[in-house]
Parts: sequence; structure tokens; C-alpha cells
Amino acid sequence: MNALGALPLWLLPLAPMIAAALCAVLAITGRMRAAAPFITLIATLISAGITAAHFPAAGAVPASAHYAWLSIPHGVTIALSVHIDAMAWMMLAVVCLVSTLVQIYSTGYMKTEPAYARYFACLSLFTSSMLGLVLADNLFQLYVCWELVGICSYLLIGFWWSKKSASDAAKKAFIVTRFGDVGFFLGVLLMVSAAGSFQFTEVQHAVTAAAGGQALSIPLLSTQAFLIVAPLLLFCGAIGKSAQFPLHVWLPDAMEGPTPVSALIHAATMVAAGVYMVARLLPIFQASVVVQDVIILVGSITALIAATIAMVQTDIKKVMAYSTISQLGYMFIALGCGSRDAGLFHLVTHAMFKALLFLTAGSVIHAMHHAANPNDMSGMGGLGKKMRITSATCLIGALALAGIPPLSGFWSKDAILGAALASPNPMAKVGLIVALIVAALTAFYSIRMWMLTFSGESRSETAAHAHEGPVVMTTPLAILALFSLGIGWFLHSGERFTTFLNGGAEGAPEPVVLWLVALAIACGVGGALLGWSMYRTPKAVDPITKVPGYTLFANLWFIDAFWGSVAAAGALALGRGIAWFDRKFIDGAMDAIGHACGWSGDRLRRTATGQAQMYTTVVMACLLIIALAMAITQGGGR
Amino acid sequence: MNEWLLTITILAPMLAAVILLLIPEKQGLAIRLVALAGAAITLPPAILLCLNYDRAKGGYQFVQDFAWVPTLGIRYHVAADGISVVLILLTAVLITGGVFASWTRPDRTKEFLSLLLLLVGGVFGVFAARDLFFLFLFYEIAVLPMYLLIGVWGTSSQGRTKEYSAMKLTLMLMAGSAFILVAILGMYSYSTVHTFDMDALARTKFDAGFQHWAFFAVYVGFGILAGIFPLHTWSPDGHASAPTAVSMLHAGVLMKLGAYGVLRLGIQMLPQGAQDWSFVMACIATINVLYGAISAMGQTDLKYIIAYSSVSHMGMVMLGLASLNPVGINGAVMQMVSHGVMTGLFFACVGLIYERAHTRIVAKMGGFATKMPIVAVCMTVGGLASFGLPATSGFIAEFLCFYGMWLRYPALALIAILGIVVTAVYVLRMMQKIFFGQFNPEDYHELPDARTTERVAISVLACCLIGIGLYPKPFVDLIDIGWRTTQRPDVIEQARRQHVADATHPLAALLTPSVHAANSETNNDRNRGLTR
Repeated sequence: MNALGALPLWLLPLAPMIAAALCAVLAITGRMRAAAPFITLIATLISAGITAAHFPAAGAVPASAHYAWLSIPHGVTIALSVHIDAMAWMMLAVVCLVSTLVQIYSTGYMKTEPAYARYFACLSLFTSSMLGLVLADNLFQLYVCWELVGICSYLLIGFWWSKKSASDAAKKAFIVTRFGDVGFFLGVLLMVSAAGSFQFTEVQHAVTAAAGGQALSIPLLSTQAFLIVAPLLLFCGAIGKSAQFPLHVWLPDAMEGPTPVSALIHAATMVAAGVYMVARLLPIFQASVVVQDVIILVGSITALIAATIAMVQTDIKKVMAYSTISQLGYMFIALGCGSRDAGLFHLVTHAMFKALLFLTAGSVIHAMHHAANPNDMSGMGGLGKKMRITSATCLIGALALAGIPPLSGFWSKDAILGAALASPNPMAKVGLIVALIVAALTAFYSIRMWMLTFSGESRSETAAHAHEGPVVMTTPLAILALFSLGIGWFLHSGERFTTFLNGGAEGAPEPVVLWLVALAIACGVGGALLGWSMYRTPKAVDPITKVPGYTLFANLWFIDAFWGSVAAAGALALGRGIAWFDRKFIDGAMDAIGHACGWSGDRLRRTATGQAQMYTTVVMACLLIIALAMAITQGGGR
Repeated sequence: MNEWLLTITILAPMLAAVILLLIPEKQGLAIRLVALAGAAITLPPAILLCLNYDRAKGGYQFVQDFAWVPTLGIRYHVAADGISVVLILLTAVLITGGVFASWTRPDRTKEFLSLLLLLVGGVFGVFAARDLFFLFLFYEIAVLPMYLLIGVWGTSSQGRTKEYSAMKLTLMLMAGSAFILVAILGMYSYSTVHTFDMDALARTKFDAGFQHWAFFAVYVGFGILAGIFPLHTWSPDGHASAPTAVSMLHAGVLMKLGAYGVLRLGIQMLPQGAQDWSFVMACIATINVLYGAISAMGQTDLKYIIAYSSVSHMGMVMLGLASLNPVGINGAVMQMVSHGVMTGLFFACVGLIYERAHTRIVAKMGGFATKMPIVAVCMTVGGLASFGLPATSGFIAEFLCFYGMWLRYPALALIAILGIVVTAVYVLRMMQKIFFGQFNPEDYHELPDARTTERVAISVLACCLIGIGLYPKPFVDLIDIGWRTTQRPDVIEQARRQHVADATHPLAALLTPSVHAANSETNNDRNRGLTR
């Protein structure tokens, strides 16, 4: 470890970047494609090693390095940073762990893929950008990496680009998040013009000062308005990237990408970037009650809507995608209630069990790849007997997601409920109620998903002949299952997580509200039991279709339909309209000027008749006019 | 040696253009090699100009100045500052790429390449000239060959013949030239010394009323070439009809001449006038950004998409210029470089695709990435730069333009920023339609990937985009020094007198940091004296 600690800090985010470049060379030249996963893994392990070597001990100064990149006029300097404080370290650990496991898993999952090297190049590029995002101590680097992880997501969702659905999904993901990013960019501009610096500390200082009544000179906005508008604009970025209502529509489509990618990017790391950003800048978001309310509200709506949709999905990855959206909503409820620790705690546990769930889904899809639609749960069933490891680990993941004690999801969900109860904000009560309802729904759909896939009899020929994947795929499952089992309890006991995040300062332990814990357990167990009883015996028709509201849920609350028909079609129509207008009127006006010149030339030409009498008449007339004009002006002068 | 660098870059392509005419048409290889030599020979001086530019000294360097027609006050005076050297490097890169891209042109290659090189000599001249007479002369040399290049070698499309496009482009640009000529003659006769020398004119005091109208003439005249709304309509037709190398150079560097003219003749020589018109300029630029992008979204022809995207991106350049502050100006020149490379890359790729697929209608394409992976990768890089993705040159350029505009007219910056979403929409749609999806082998028998020469050209351009994006500091520094040290003496004097303390003030950064610090010090001293 000591040897790795001596490596320069910049290697931490850049080692995977170098690996990405090397893999890209392999991909373009088409040689030695088998080397790509090793290059990628070595780079990730180097990053992981450097991370481990810089564990922020309690009370120590965080490891930090700055590299000047550009100074723009006005003396604003842009420096890229590698800043490892407790919060960053926590996220680095998650990113490195999940990245490594997903890369190992991918060597098995993507083995037959011709574009093997390209896949690993994109994966490395993503790891690098994500590490850069986590290591930022300024808004500029945050924004840069924010966009870079977005483009990696685009490249990986569209990995199988010859499928139209995949290239559509990639495009949709990028454009929808771009809407949020515009808000984010504006937020950054506002913050920079208020603070005169990109540094988080300076920005937070400026906002705190403004909240304390110090007037700021910001264009367009009063100080009061600034405290509401600027954080909300930053939050727009989180809404896009973390797939919150109403911009959540891209994440389910993003399931077109390879499943390991879904586990890494669209469950554990990138989609959590929004949560990480809000947590990192939490003082900014807490400066105004309105902002807190909005965050809780967005989180609650998202959690509820996504959970109801997840109940009725038949595509195994779509269930998990909506579940991810819903759980991210959960984290935002915690952050809106002002509890950074609860939100991040859930981020960590969720990263473990959701990465696990996606990888088990990958195993299943890998086994089902001869089916017409390998993701469809109605063609599965009975896989538990064929794929014991996958089945067992998936059950652990599902129970953790359901919040069954003592698995990890229970502890973090409990922390969020506790935070919502403790918050003085009235809106937090809404969050609390929604969170309890969603807890029950979550337990229901996770058990439903497991039952449909693994229990009962095989419902298709392919499912009957399914078998377990190679050991490179099952080992990551086992490791993640261990984490999903134990990490919640481990981090919770003795307030380890909170103490670590607060730099060793031991906070007062949260008072345990027994009735709330009991209620949470009741919701979780009740939902799970309901799911179990409904899917215990095989039925011809999925019983979920008889649930009231099924039409609404199955049609995704008509949100996708709205975006598709109103926004996308409207934008295209606008484009065609403006293009037509440009040709017809603007260009038409230019042509008209040309024609007018031609026409007047033609008319003038006709005056050149060649008749001397005509010319003399014109000359005389002109002379007369000039004489008159001179007489009038000169006469007037006297 | 240094003082000859500019003259060499201007004359080398022109000399090659003349030599080309002496080679018999049958010797195809010799023609191509001479053209390549004439283009590539400008690269070493262009790189040397960037390296040798003395950043500590600033101002105009590499001066060569002698009387041409003394009685009329015309001098052959060339010199370059940080902005010029960067743009000269861009031109040198693009013309080399352009010759590579026309390597396989079948018909009348000799005349084509000769005109192309002549044109580029003119472009170098404009970037280097410090005498208004020569500036205008070079400007016309750069613009006029376009008429033949499009009219003879172009392609007709969308019911518009190449002759029509060539005519429209030339007439509209000539109208612009008329405005420019008026402004130049105005300055000439207004100055008491009657000179075309820009250094002498920079020391002449123009009163506010004169500056107001002279700036207007400069803005409209050069603005037409920069594609300002609503005078941009020559650009889609012209770029769509022009052959590959011509589109590359025209969108890549010629449109930059327009923006450069507004910067050099307008903002720098007529600062008062620029202040008067800055809001109008900013509004028009905002319209350009959005209108161009939305129009691009509605196009079906690949070349029209790129052409409208140029209108949008040149709007970004004008947005940066209109901010009149150093951040925005830096951004504008960065965007000129970025867009120059990017659009050169785009048109090169589009030319390759058209040559092989024989269609430019995007709806008829699909899955081309399987057949031409190199083109797909390079064009994707161009696309990413086009919507300002970090780690490409487009990002830092657009960032600075928006930030500059934000400091001057925040509301307009807010509106213009929406352009980056629209750009992402049309770029990604275009990429998807051409390269992704199922390839249909029945429609296209053969779609070979780029040849070696073309591969070199497009991958070098793509690497430039990423290289500048990863480390833009050398370029931004050059531009910043150039802008800061080539102001009119009276502007600097004014900044000094006002003791501009507010860092966001447009004049503030004119004072080099040391001067600024010294001034605030004396200011503090005086304040202390007052309180005492």
C-alpha cells in the first residue's frame, strides 16, 4: 500500500484515462483485443490502491493536489484538483469497488462481443471521468466531469448501435440530461459571479454570507431571489443526471446498454452523481426553505411514481431501472430534509445491492440469450434450480432492496425515515409518508421480480435449458452479496458512517424512534409477503394486471407519451417551421432584392431608346428642375 | 528571419498557384505535389509565428513595413499579434487538410487547386495586414475566387443550381465589401495625415458620431461574411453547393475573416462605436445562435445541416465579440479556431460520405459506421466539439463566450445558452441517422472507408479538436496577450485614468496585472490622503 501511496495523486483519475487511450488504440487497430480487460483492470486497481493509501484518518488534513489549467481574464483561475476528503473517499471506494467487479464480470459477459476493446475503452473512460467528478473541489471540474460521464453513458448505452432502439436510447439519454445540464451550467455561472471563484469553499461561503443578510451584486437577481434560483438551477443538473421527475424518462430506455454497464453507470455510480453533488454542496441547498421543499417534493414524486411503475413491468431490467429511479428519489428526500449522512448512507448501500441486482439480471439474460426477448420475465420462471448462485445472490439483493432487517437496505432506509421525522420542515412529513408507502411498494416489486424469475416452473424452452455463468461472473455476485448483507449493519453500528463523514467528530447518536422502525419493518415485510403470496402459485395471467391503477402505471403515468408527442415532436416541427421560414422569407427577401435590381435595370434600359428628341427633352427637364431648386434654396437663403 | 515569416506565408501559396498554371494538365501527380507543397510550406512559418511570438512584449510583432504608394499613404505593412498568429496557424492547418481532401478530384484539378491556393494567400494576407489598402486587397483576393470555385466545380441541389448559389454568395459578399470600402475611405479621409496605415489610424482620434456610423458600416460589411442574421442566407446555399475543400476553407476560415474584420477594424479601431452597437450585436448574435441551430434541426440535406450549424456557431463568435470584454473576446477567437477545425472536419467527412454514397439526404443513410469506421469516429469527435463537450475545443470556447456575455448582458446569455441543447439535438440526430442503425447493403454496393490521404486529414483535424480541448492554455494565453496589448493608446489611457477597480469592467483587463496593481495602490494612497 505504501508503494501506491507514493504515486502522484493525479494518477488516481488519470490511470483509467490512459487505459482508455490504450484500449482505444487496440480497438482501432483491431489487434490484441484480449489485452483490453487487463489494461482496464490494472488501471482501476492502481486507482483503487491510491485511494486506499489515502484513507482520511480522523482529524488529518485531507490529501489534496491542484493543477493549474487555465487562467481567464479577471483573475479567475481554473485549477483541476484531486481532493480526497471523507465524502470523496467514500464515493471513491464505491466507484473503485463496483468498477473493478463490473470489469471482471464483463470479461465473461462480453466475451463473444467483437467490439470487446471498444467496450473496455469506454468503461475506462467512464471510470476516469467519474473519479474526476468525485475528486473535484470546484464547480468547473465538477461540470466538466459531469458532461464527460454523460458522454460515456451515451457511448455505452449506444454500444450496440446497429440496433435502432439502442441508438435511440443513447440519444434520448444524452439530450434529456442535457436539459438538466443547461440549468446546472447557469447555476454555475450564477455561483461564480456571486463568489468570484469556482471553489466549493468560496461558493459556500458566499451563499452563507448572503443567507446571513449580506447583499450580493449578481446580475438580474436580488440576493433573496439568488438564494432560491441558483441552488434550484444546480438541482436541475441533479434532476437530469439522477433521473428525477420529470426528466427520469431516459433511464429506463438506457437499459438498452450492456447489463454490466447498467450496473455500473445506471445504478451504482453515475446516476448517484446528482445525489453526491447535492450532498457535497448541501449548505447551498439549505440556505432557503423553498429549495428544501422542492428537493423533498421532487424526490417524493419520483420515488412514488417510479415505484408504482416498477410494480407492473415485465422486463427484468426495467423493474430495476424504475427501482433505481425510485431509490434515488429516496436519497433526495433525505437530502431535502437536511440529512447529508442519511442520503449518502443510502447511496452506498444502494450502490451495493443495486449493482448486485443488475449483475444477477445480467447472469439471467446471459443464460436466456437464445430467447426472442431475453429480458422478458414472462418467459423465465424456475431459474432458481438451474442457477443457484445467481438465484441466492439475487434474493439477497432483493431483500436488501426491500428493506428487510438486518440487510443493508434496512439500515439506510431507516436512517432516511429518521431524518424525515426529525426535520422541522412541514414538507418533510410528506416525504416521510411517501417514503413509508414506497417502502411497501419496493418490497412488493422486488419479491415479485424474484418470484417471476427464479421460482415456479420454467415458462419457456430457453429457461428450461438455462445454466449458470462462468466463475468470473459468479465471483463478483458473491462479493457484492456479502456487501449487501453486511455493510448496512457495519456502517450503522457505533455510528461509524456519520463519524467518518464528519472527520472523526463523534456526533450524538440519532435517537431511535421505535414506532417508526416497527412501522418500516411492517411495511417492508408486508409488501414482501404480499408479493410472495400473489406469485406463489403460477397463474395464467399476471395478477398485477387486476390491481386498480394498472393502466396508469403500465402507461408510465403518460409522462413518456407527453415528452414524446409534445416535446420531441414539437421541437422537430419548430425546426422544420424555422427552416421553411428561412428559405421562404429571409432568403426570399434576399432574392426579392436581387429581382428588384434586375427589374429596375430592365425598366431603365427601356429609357435608352436612341431618339435624340427624347434625350433633349430629358436634359431640358432636368436643367429646369435644377434651376428651380437653386432658385428656391438660394432665394430662401436671402 | 522573423520579419519574413508573414510575407512567406502570404506569398508561398500564391507562388504555388502561379507555378500550378505552368504545369501541363496531364501531370496529375506533379500538380498535386506542388499544391501540397504550396499549402504545407505555410505550416512551419505558422508554427514558428506561434512559438516565436514574444509574450512578454506583446503587441504587433514580425513587422515588415515599407512604402508602396507614398503619395496615397499606402504601405506594405504586415505584422501579427497573438490573435493573428493563432488564426494563421488555423488557416495553414486547414489548407493542408483541404489539399489532402481534394487529392482525388477528377476534373480540371490544376485550375481548382490554383484558385484554392490563391484564395488562401488572400486569407493569410488579411490576418497579417496592418494597412487598410492591403487588407481590403487581400480580402477581395480571398473572396472572389469563390465565385469560380463554386460556379464551376460545385454541385446543384434542392432545386438550387450551383450557378445561382455562386452568384448569390458573390453578390452578397460584394455588397458587404461596399460597406467595408466606405468605412475604410471614411477613416482615410477623416484622419488628418491621410494614411491607410492602421497603426497611424489607431493614434487618430475619431469623434463619437463618426465612430458610430463607421462601426455600423464595418459591422454590416464584415458581418455578412460572418453570417449575421438576416444576411446569412448566402451561407447554406453556398456551402451546400461548394466542393469539399472549398466548403472546408470557406466555413473554416473565410467566415472567420468576417469576425476578424469586426474585431480588428471595428472593436479595436472604433471602440466608441462598438460600445454604441454592442447591444444590437449581442441581440443579433443570440438570434444567430438559436435560429441557426433550430434551422439545422429542420434540414434533411447533410450539407445544409452543417451549413446552418456554421451560422449558429458563428453566432457564438459574434456573441463573444459583442461582449466587448476580454473574456468574451478570448472566447470568440477560441471559437473561431474551434469552429474552423470542427467545420473543416465536418465538410471533409461529408465530402467523403457523399462521394461514396452519392446522396446527401440523411434519411437515406444508416449504419455507415460498419463500413467507414474512421469517418464515423472523426465525425463524432467533430460533433462532440460542436455541442461544446468538455475535453474538446468547443467547450472552452463556448464557455468563455457565454461567460463574457454573462458579464455584459446576462439575459441574452441565458437565452443563447439554450443553443447548446438544440445543437446536441441536431448533431446527435444526424450522427444516428448516418452512422448508426442497420446498414442496408442493397442501397449501397460499396462504401469503402477513407483513403490514406483523407484519413490523415480528418484524423489530424480530430486530434486538434481534442488536443486544444485538453490543454487550451497556450492558445488562450496568446489570444489574451494579443488583445490586451494591441488596444488603441487612448483606450488604454482612458482605462488608466478611470482606475477601473471593478474587475468585470470591459476596460479593466486592458491594464496588465502589474499596471492594475500599481494603479489600485496609488488609488489607495490617495484615499488614505483624503481621509487624513
